[in-house]
Amino acid sequence: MMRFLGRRALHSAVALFALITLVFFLVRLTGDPASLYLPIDASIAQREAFSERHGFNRPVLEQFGGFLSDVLRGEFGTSIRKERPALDVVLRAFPTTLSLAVITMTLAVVLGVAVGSVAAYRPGGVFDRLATLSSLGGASAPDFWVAITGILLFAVALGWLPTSGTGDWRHWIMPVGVLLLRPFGLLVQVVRGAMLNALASAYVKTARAKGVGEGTVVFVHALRNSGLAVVTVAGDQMVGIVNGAVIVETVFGWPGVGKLMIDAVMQRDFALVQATILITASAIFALNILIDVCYVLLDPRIRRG
Amino acid sequence: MSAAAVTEVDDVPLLEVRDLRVEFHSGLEVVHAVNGASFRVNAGETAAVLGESGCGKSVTAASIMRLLPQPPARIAGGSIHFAGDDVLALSRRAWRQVAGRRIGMVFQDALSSLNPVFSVGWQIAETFRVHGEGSAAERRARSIELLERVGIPGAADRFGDYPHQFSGGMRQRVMIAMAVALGPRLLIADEPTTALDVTIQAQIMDLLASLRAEYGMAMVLISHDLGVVYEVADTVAVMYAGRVVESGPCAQVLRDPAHPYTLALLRSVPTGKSKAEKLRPIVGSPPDMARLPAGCAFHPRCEFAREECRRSAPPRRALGVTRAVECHFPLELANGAGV
Amino acid sequence: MSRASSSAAASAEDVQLRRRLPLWRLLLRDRFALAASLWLLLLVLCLAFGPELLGKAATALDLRGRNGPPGSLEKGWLGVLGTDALGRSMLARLVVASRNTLLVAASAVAISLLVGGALGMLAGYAGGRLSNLIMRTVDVLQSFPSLLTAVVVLYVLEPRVANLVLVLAVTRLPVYVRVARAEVLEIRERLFVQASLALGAGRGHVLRRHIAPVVLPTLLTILTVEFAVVMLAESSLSFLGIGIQPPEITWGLMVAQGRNHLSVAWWLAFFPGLAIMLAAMSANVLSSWLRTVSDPAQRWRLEAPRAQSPEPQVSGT
Repeated sequence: MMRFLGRRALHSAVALFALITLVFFLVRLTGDPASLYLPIDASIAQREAFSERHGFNRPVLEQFGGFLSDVLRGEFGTSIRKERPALDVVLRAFPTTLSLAVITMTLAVVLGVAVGSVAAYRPGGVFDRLATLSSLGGASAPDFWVAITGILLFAVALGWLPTSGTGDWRHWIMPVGVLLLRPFGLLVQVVRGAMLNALASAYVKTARAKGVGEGTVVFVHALRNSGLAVVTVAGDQMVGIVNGAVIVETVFGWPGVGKLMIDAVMQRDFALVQATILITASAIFALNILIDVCYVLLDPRIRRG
Repeated sequence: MSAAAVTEVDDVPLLEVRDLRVEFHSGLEVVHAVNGASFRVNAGETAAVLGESGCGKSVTAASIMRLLPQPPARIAGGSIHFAGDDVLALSRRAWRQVAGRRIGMVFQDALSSLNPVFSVGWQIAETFRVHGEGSAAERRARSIELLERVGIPGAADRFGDYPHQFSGGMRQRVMIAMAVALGPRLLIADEPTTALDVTIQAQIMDLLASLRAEYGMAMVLISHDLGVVYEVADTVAVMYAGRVVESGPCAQVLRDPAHPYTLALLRSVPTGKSKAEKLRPIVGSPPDMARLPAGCAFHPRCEFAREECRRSAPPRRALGVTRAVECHFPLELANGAGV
Repeated sequence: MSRASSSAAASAEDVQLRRRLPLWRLLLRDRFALAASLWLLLLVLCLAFGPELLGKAATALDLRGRNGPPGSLEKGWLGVLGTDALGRSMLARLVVASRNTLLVAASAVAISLLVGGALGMLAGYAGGRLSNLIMRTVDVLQSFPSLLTAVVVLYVLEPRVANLVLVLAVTRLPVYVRVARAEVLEIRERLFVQASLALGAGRGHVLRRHIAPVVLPTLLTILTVEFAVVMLAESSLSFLGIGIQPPEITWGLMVAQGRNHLSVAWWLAFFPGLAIMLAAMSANVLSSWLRTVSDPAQRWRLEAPRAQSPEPQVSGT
């Protein structure tokens, strides 16, 4: 198992390195990296001074070395807007997004597995149809639109929930609700599909022949076999949650990493953009390794090789 | 052949399948998988259901155990009685008392028939657990005993192993252990050895024989393998196109067949006697179960077919006390017990 | 005798012919899939003829009639969905914007399919180092949130339509590569490929004539889902302001523009979003139907006669 994890960690390190390299070269592609870092109205003199200071006129490889060592030291530059080290800014915003993501994903998995298995238990029944409909909605509805419609309905028209910002539990309902939709919808479908598959399998026949009750067949035999599929999809969705978080944080004004990034882009604050990307990527890679651990724990066939 | 342990011959057979009809609705057509099959099994007896692939034998077994998904399948007629009870009419709860406890079933492919994510021991213990037998420790002990009984070496250590860690023959033994765990009166074995090597086949059949003797179980053996059937079965029901075309004591039927199909089956088995032996397959191919020929289902391939056979379905005729055949012109028997 | 057997033979043939329902009949059987296809057809008509027919109405300013609510027929049928802050007809704008929205998504998907499919087939067939390289790259690509990738790239390279399409295409490559590779791996070992090679066919020939035709249907099934995904991605980017830039217009951008007038004119943000949702939904429903139809194990659910509406439940235990 340790070997497996070690390999995965190595893969992630390589991937991270590739990402960093990509960012590096992408930036230098534009011709004048300084213009990415500085505000639009910076004067030529300012640009030249900046370039000089950061060595943009040095040989590329030397720059790359410098870039790498900076990154490893956590030196992403200084955010123009906030006038603080970019890394600080990102780390300050990180917990907000993390809590949003964790709560949403947990809810999505719990609800998704529950709804999906019940739907598989009675295929074609009312629950199944409802489940299919909600999955379809989750997969088709643009999250920014749902968020806006939600605000229209619950905040503006009905006044039940606040329009934006963080605060008490009421501020969490809509952001989590909107963010939930896609992963929940997808998980329901995946669980249902995997369960139906499992329910059609030979080992379920054996269980029934032993006299095992239908409930146990569905929620123990079939569900356990669907575990892998759930973990895979849930893992993929974690990556997607970051996407969704960007939108949700923007619409609801949450001070998380997503909003930070969009604002940084709008304000041409590249140091911040860069820092956000790299920190987020690291978090995601770490998460993927965690998922792989779950994989191994869930399926005995993988464990023994 | 007859096991020495065959005891009572009840008036009421342990299992009686009468005129079973099973349909599958796929697309616009209806496949008549089982077309009026009847046979019976007495306590302690081994009855074989013999036939080619597609003749309906597996579907019959699945029907007995109420394992058919309905739809697309549908039990369109007939009855199945086990120890006097109408199997198809039992409530779900009542049936769960029968499945696993009074009737056990062994399937063909043990790799896909065992749940890959649970240990072998867990799955055997489940049979006990589901039927409320004893504490966890007792169940574990009994499961280990069972594993030993079916010939798994180092049973205590292997309790926690997973199906993929066993060889094919071992897995089949595990399946058998699960099926006989509660000492059922009837064991249904659906092609238990088809997926195994010949040498392992023999071991498994021996295991089944010894278990039958020990528990006094009756067995329904579904197979297409004449050799296995001849070795093991007391009675045989030969199925073709969803019907039982001939039945009777195994030795008699297979040595002295009355139905042309049975004869053709026997002839098609290579004897290995001479190097120049030509294979004698049965002419033609099995019928399309959605479009059965009119009259006798076998007539297009029968070397003795006559006008009558094309026109009408053959009646079931008794040949003496224990044998029966569905044919307009059954073959002459050696002892002259004809129509 | 002869009458009985010949009529038996005739009806047997009947069943033979009727056994496999043609695709369009299966479509009729599934009401949702039918509705979805019709809606998509409507959208195609909009994108083909919309800008020409309704272009004027979409840009005609009418400051007196601005922010007109939907449901009134004062401006004729064009005003049925309301008017925007400059008095332009919402309906017209929606129809005109369909072209950009759908074409951007379609082009991105087409590029992904071709490039991803080719890469996947290559990886599957060639194996070894090349395959490893392709798959590792795909891994990296897939392990990162596409929105963030798109944001960075569009920040650096300027949000022009071509760049947008490119970014969308690249971020969705992994799916096609993986699926194509998996399919090829499975087919590669099949006998007909071996036979063809034994007969002297070159590898390129085998790839083109034997493998591609089998891989393509699977990829096409994925395509419908991907279309919805890419459409939603473009809408998100445009909403955030990093996608399509004015004066070009897409539904996503319309929602962003409508957001500023939320309390005054809710329909400005609502209808474009609804349009996106309906289009994505249609694509998803159609995709689901396609998957049911192409999987023989599931096809019976559609083929069974209506009266026996399948409620699959297992009897017995």
